[in-house]
Amino acid sequence: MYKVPLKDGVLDMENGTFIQIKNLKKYFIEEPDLLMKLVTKKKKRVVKAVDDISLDINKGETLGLVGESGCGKTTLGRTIVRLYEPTEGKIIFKGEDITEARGEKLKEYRKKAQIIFQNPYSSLNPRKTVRQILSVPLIASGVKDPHEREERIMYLLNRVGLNYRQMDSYPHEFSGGQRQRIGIARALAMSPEFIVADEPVSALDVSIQAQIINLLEELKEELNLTYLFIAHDLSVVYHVSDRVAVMYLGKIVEMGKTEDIFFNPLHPYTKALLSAIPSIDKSKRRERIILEGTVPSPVNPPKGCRFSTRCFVKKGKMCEEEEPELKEVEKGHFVACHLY
Amino acid sequence: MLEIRNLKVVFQTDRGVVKAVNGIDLSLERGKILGLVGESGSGKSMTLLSILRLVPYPGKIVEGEILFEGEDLLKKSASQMREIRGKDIAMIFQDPMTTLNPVFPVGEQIRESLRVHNIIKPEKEGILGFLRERDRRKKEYEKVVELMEKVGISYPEKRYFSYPHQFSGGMQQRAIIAIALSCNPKLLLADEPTTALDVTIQAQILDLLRQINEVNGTSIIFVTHDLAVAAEFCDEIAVMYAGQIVEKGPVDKVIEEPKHPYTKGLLRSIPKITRKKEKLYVIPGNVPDLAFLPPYGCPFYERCEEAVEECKEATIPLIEVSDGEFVRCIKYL
Amino acid sequence: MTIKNGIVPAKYYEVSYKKSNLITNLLSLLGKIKKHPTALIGMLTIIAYILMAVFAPFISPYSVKYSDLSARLLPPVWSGGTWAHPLGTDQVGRDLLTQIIYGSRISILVGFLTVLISASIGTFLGAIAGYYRGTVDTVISRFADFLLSFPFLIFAVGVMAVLGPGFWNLILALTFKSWVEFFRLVRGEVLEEKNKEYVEAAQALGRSNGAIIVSEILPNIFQSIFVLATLRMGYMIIMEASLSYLGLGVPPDIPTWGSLINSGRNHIFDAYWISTLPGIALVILVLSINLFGEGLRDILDPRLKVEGSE
Repeated sequence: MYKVPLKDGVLDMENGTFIQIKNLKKYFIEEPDLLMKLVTKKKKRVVKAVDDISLDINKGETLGLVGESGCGKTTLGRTIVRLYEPTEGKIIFKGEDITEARGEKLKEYRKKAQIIFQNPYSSLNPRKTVRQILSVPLIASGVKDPHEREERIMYLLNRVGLNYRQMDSYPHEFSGGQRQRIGIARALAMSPEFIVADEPVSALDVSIQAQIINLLEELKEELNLTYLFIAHDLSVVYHVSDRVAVMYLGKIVEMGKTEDIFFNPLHPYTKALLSAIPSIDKSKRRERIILEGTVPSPVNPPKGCRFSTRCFVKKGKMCEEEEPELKEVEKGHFVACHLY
Repeated sequence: MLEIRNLKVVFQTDRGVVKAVNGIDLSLERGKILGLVGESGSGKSMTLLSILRLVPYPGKIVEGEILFEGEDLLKKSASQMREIRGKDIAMIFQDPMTTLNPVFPVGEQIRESLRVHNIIKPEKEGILGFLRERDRRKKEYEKVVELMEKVGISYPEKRYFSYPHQFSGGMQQRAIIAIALSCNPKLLLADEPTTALDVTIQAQILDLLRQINEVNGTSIIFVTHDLAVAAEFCDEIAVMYAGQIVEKGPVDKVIEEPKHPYTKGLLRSIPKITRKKEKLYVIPGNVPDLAFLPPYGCPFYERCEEAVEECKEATIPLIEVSDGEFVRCIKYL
Repeated sequence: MTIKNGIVPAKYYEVSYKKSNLITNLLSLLGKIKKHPTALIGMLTIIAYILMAVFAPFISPYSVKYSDLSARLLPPVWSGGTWAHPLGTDQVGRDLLTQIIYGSRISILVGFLTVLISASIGTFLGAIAGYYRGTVDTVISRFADFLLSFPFLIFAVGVMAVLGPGFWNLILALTFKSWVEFFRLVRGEVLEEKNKEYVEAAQALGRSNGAIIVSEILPNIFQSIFVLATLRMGYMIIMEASLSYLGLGVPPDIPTWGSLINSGRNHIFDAYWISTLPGIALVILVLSINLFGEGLRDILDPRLKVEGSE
């Protein structure tokens, strides 16, 4: 397994931070349509999907991003690969600010930062053969010669564990796991350095999940990739990640080394999340913390600490009024909670 | 209370006959929770739908008996079945969003199920009963509010008139459970009820289902692909593969001492949160295409690490290895 | 084997480089149509109609202008007529078979052209409105709603009344509103497809918006457009017939099915064939277009082939 560059338990900055996210915000603004604006005074709705997030990803590590649906983890991943325009903040990739990159510069970035999608059914164009699907990224990354392209496609299919003879098949002729492999091959075709894996296994069967996870790990070692691994399944995240960030309602509430997060969680939300994981091992079953209620709407999140409406160890007024900052409580272990 | 004997469901497709459920034997005692575990295409959902005789076209139940409290459901007429559905046997589906009708208030949808099964009887028959409609509605409304409270929907009087889209996924699932509970069923069929939900919400819903099981004594058949959920929630587990049960027994025995190579493989391939990280075990190959399954031999043969030559040919019955524990594997013959 | 820069030399694989171009694609499509009986019947009938229209002067027994006032209202052969006029004659003694053959020219041309033009306009605007949303979408959509609020026939009658009869005026009057159907269909489908992850994947691979619309999204909705086009083509031919019936189509000296049906209106009880036979010709053409369209949809969709597998 790849080792995180650590020096005395702290991330080694010599290699340089690979990706730096600074105060990133992504708001979705739903504006009423032109006519509605003329007729009514309907206001626009602002969904604060990602609200002021800062984090670093180091070369060669896997950062796991966990949280419940609607917490903004997918939005964050997509904003980082510039599928969404960031509202505010900065994305710095290998020392270069690509937050507002356009044209050629954006194309260069796209070659280095790729994404794997959750749904193996909708992420492949049903009208295109595997050859056509894989040709697009190859042409984009400059493989112009058709013979060379063909060879690359064969290599890629081989590498992700598919038969190259199926090159001219359509996506529907493959099973879910095989389609996910095609999705991985498509991302790899750009020869990226960084991959956002957005719930890559959550739509797959248990026995297929393990295959895809192992494939992703092998590829990481072989090609020296860096992953941002987004998932809601905590055991999967535990298995693949070097570090983990926990998100709640557009914010990071806790971040640290995987072992720290899983065996010494500090934030009450992380604790609740971990206690809710069902386990096949009887002895591992912890005292379950069952959270009351549901996640509030990101349109108008609660004042103060966003978790305060569901928190079971609330400190009182302070939690409801003051927003806690992400502080380094232990070495490399960050928490946003007034308890610390 | 429920006994399934040699159930077979086939689908007639362009590519041939697909044996979705291929000879299943199950039994469930009153007040117990049975977990049906398997991957997609293993026939677990079809087994569940067969109990209510809701197998979708072009599927057909071709063989077997489903005895519910001693009576064969497969011999009932369509109207008798309608009477049983929802009243004696209720079902919860995977996706709460599509189960509720988006154009009616949630409370009304729960009330509808009370009305369908005539739970609150009109005071008088005929035209006079019609005149008392208001009273009847009021009583039903009160009952719905009580049900909503019971499944943990807060402010039920207010939420009664809310529409499904105003509910979160967990709340919607609670409303569906309220519908299922409205007639106080003896058996609850749950088809992946927590798969679409987040872990913390999953914990809430499982907690609620367990309460229902304990307080009302409702038996539950719980279909899931998640072994860990089944391990925590169920009393008994049946593991399905390619339309057959490969292993069944009390939960502790199946989870802690799995016998069938498929169960073993599944358990090993789940990522676990332990101090030591290891490479995940992978069951080689893919789930077989049910249309091209050989008529004899073990369907797991090609993916099995412990397979021997005989597995290819032999048709293996479910073998009782110890009290209440059954395995379909040649090693235990 | 040695792998250089992750490239495996091609000789390690026995792969036939399959050449695909327009001709091979068309041939394979024809091969598939052959196996689909209704599509085949539809296609053959359409081809027959087109040949009939193109070679009208050679196959029709009389010239268009020919009329014989002494042979008025002759019945077709099966009703006691003669082989001189196999389908009978109309009230001014024109040979009905000749008139129907020449009439097909206008009908087919109108059907084809109006659908081609309105599908192009509708697809273009629909794709833009659906993909970019915002103000563009609002403006086009409201304009489309505005057009939709008129009944088609009355709208076309109005336009024709202003422009006066004529072939191109007819095309203009019919397309002026007909593109809206295509616009609404394409806009809706683009809205749906746009949210699928394969579009995002294409964005992540650095494809431009134009390339995404043309080569990722449109192939997925092409079959819906095509089915609508065939249905609309039938409708357009009927519309042309209706306008000609009202005397607002092409100039009266050019025979069309619509004006033929109209001219037989007064004789419907004593000479049924004048209205009925062009009507049957119309019905058969529209039916074959629809059959062909439906069949082609089945053939073109790769997903339909394995129905029932999941």
